[in-house]
Amino acid sequence: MMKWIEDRPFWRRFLLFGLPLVMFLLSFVVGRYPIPLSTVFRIILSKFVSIDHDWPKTVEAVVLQIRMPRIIGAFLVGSGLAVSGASFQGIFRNPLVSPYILGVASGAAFGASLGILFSFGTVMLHVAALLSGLLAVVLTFAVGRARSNAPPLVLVLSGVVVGSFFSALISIIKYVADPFEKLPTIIFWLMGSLARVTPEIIAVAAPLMGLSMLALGTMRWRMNVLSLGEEEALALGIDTKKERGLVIFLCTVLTASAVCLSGIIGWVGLVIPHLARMMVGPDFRKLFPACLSLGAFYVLGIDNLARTLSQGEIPLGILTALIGAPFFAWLLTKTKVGW
Amino acid sequence: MFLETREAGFSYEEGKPVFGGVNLSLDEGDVLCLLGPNGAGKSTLLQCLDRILSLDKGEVLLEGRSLTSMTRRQISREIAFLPQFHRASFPFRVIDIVLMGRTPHMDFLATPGKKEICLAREMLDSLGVLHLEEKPYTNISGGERQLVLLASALVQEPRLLLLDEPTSHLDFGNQARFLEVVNRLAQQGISIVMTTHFPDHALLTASKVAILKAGKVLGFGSPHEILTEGMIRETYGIDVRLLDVEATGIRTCVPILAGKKCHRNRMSTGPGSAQAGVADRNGG
Repeated sequence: MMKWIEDRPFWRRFLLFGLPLVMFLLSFVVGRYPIPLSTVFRIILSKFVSIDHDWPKTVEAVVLQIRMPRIIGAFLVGSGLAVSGASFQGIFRNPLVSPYILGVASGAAFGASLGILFSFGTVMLHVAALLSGLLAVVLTFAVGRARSNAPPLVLVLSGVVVGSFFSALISIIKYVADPFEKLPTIIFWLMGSLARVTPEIIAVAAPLMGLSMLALGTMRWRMNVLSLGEEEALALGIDTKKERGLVIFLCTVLTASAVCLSGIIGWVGLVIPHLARMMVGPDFRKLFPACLSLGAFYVLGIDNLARTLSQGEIPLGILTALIGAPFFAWLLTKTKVGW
Repeated sequence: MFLETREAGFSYEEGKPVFGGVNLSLDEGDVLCLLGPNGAGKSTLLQCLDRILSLDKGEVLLEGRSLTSMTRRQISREIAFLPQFHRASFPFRVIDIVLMGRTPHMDFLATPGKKEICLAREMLDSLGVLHLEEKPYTNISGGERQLVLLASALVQEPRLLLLDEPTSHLDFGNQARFLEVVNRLAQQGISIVMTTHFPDHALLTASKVAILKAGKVLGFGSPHEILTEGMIRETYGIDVRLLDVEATGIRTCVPILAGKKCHRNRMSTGPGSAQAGVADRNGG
């Protein structure tokens, strides 16, 4: 299948950039309250020019207050996780690492669980998640850099250590949490969902994540060189410590913000980079845009399913793996993978 | 002096120096071959010459300027390094690998443009591997990969080229071809420091030879002066004969294996073969 795509640049371009656009528009339409595309267009247009309001107020609220932030959230989470996954795989030269490898996810999940336990408000909950996610990465660095000459792999290992420590802390919180009210909330949060995304949270997360992605994007050629390995990058004039640190910082901001928006959504940051690499190769100049669009497309599509498949919300984290895993397994059996 | 080390020493752990008191020097267009047994510190020394590792004693001077006073970018514009093993990570195209060698001459946020691509293709062409440009470099032979990595080092436009056992994974023909390239580069005025396990390779290319054993320099000077039978025996602990190949001016080094029977009667000794026999040693 990948060979088929490689030989057809037009279809590759369409798949990579046309599909996310289609999915973007589709996401406004589908849901428990179907809205025709023309109405969606006119509602959005009415914010910029004056048009006759021939639609009910509730429809406008659904489009602008509920679906819009959620769609933007899905875009940010999907592309953010995919881009930082690709970056981590590159700088650690290991196709098995995901953006959660340095402990961000467990750290952020700990913060959120703590927030739920002590009944924080929505904004405070996100701040707590963001801060403890960052704290986990700082701890990972402290452990991994204790020996000055430690190779990057030590960082990955200490990420695993810090991650499991925070997982244990989460378990303690679950253990002591009220089983009728708090515990289900915590568990649902950990499974990941975009249902809690509000315009206020987007207003904070979007610039943060947008800037990080932009910065990573401008470093795309340096990323290629970094992914050659430590000695090779040094010999090519790259201050590996500084530049790798910068990449990790940007990825951490991206991942922690994504976890704040949606809880822990596994799979995207690991598999989308692989999928993108299969389609366009390992060169970050092409890999970045491909990850951006595939990640957004995937999370958006899955989130549409999550909110339409059943009466209640299906947690996003479950669906990403439930649908992604068989698809990726099928790809693995069909494709010769070049790494 | 173009490159000089003064009392250079390095240790990973305190009190356990990998090498120490190393004083070497070379001029532009010199080929310095570093010989020595496994674990002598050759590769480590080579990495210190590019400040991939930092010396903890002494200094490395490039045209009288200490490497520690230069930025990574400045160093990478003067010195290129070809590591012993390149552990391939992702299947980059050959042309991209070569383009990466251009990084030291590009702005921080720049990506390679037409000029860089032109230069990279010219370099691949001059090494005879332009036909590989679109292939993933993880899918080419070891000999081809070494030439591609060399092309990547050369678009760096270095004045000093460091080669860490560049011939160790190549077949006999590719070894010779690689050494030809080394000599050609030296003629163009590029200085080369190369580690090798084969005294023959030093005899074929070097203008200077240094022998490193257990972190100390046993000898440093011209190849014919340093590479004596006694010195090689002391370095590697084996018996060797040095032979001059008639009419070529080439000297070669042959190990004398204990217990090896002589098959001289069955061998033809035509013109161009070794001048001195090796059979007389074999009885003992």
